[in-house]
Amino acid sequence: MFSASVGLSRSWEPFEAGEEIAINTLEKLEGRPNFFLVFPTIHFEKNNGFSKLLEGIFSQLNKNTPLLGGTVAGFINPKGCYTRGVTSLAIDDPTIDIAVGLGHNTKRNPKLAAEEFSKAIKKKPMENQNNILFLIMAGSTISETIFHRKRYTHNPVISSILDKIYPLYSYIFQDGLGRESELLGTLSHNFSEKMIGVSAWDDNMAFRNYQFFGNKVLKNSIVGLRLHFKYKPIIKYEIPLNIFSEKLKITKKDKLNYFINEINNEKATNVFFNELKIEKKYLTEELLRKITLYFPISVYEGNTLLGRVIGLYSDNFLASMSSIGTNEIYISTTTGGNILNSFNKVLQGGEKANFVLGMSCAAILETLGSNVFEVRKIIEKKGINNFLILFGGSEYFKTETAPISCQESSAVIFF
Amino acid sequence: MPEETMLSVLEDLLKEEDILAVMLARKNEISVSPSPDKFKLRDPSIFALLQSTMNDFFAVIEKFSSQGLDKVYFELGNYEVMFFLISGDTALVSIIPNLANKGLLEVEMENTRLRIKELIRTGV
Repeated sequence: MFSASVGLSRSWEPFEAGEEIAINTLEKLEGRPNFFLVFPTIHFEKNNGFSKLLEGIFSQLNKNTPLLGGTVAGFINPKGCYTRGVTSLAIDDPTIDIAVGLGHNTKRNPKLAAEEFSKAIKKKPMENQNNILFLIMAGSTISETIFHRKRYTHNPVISSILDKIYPLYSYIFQDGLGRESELLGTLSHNFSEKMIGVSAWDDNMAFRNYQFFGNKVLKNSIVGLRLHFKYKPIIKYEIPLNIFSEKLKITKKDKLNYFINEINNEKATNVFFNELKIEKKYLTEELLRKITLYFPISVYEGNTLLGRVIGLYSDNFLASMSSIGTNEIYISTTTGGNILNSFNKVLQGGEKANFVLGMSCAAILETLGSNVFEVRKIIEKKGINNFLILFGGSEYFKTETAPISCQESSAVIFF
Repeated sequence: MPEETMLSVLEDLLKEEDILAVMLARKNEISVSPSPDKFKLRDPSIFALLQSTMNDFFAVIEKFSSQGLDKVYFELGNYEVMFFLISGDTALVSIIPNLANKGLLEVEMENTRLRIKELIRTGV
């Protein structure tokens, strides 16, 4: 018999919050959990708070229960919509088989991290049909010391060399791009499973994020589950983006496909703002924030338009949060209405599921603001009673052949 | 768990790093706010100015409240002020940095507004 239970704590005290979510998650669960997922916001970070949070959970949870998780920007659960607190999910179903995986140093060497993760998962033999990989990876980060809250760097040194020294910088400091696409590429080579996941994130500052595995608090890691079901779980996704610009051609970029230097043989930043009809002299950081949310770069993969949020702007590059494998790009746009429609579509059919687990983007949460309560109304109107929607750095899903990592989308799994 | 009061709800919201100051403003009444020494404003005079001019704001807000006015934002130098109306003569007001992630903070402002409405309903 399938049973899923979602917990919530709004306590600021991490041990107490951990204890509280373990109690209120387990008391509603009908049996013993196959696994326990935990998603706090970044607010517990100070004074070793995440370790205390996990201690609080394990003061109530059997230490042999696999625990995984990551920091998120916010979440919607049956109790409400929150951008501060901690939520959890435990599932009990004797027919579900699980294997857990962990890979380190995702930013230093994503391929090696994905191989380490795959090896751990494959230690446990499992039937190959009806499987899902559920993944939580380290999200991208921006140096707080260098950039503070600003996203347009006018520093001529950073502007002229960051894209060139980035691979070395990332290797040494393990700071910067999450490189989720590269991790997914290796995982897709190693597993035929459908996939769904989210990048760990903070309060949308992109300064830091954490992953959890058992009682370990990690950075720059991938944690996840391989789940085997007796039935076929459904994974769906929706992307609320429309094309805004003409087709643009990248004519110069870095080797990792994240830094766009030139578009149509001109400086990428100039072309980007020309397309938006914004003179750079009038550009403020406040305006830039709105542009970042409402006008991501987009690329087609097959017939699907995928969003790539620009994380950093400079005179010499636009830095994308996800790799851009193609040279044909668009500037796309979205609206609050589009976003709500996309939730309406992606949640269609959720009322028939035992449980709905959703992944969406922190950029969508920031765009919606308090209108995120409208998403909860959509969920309630559909009669979906047991659910958890997470908002992280990037979302990933694989429903057909190729895995996808993008921003400004929503993906769900119906159990 | 200690009983929730207007003040404890406001203090809870003020623990957010980017909520620099907060008050429950009421027309023609003294506003409820945590002790100003808990505020994180570099320029505390902004809060005092805001507090002293609230009745002027309510004069305008009241005119629009029948039209469904729900939130008011305005930029003030390095700060931004968010008004979440609770009724025509009561508003939750907070001051945030101008480069804060306003959308995320709005969600917790909304949760605070819901808690205050519940306290008003139950007469606490």
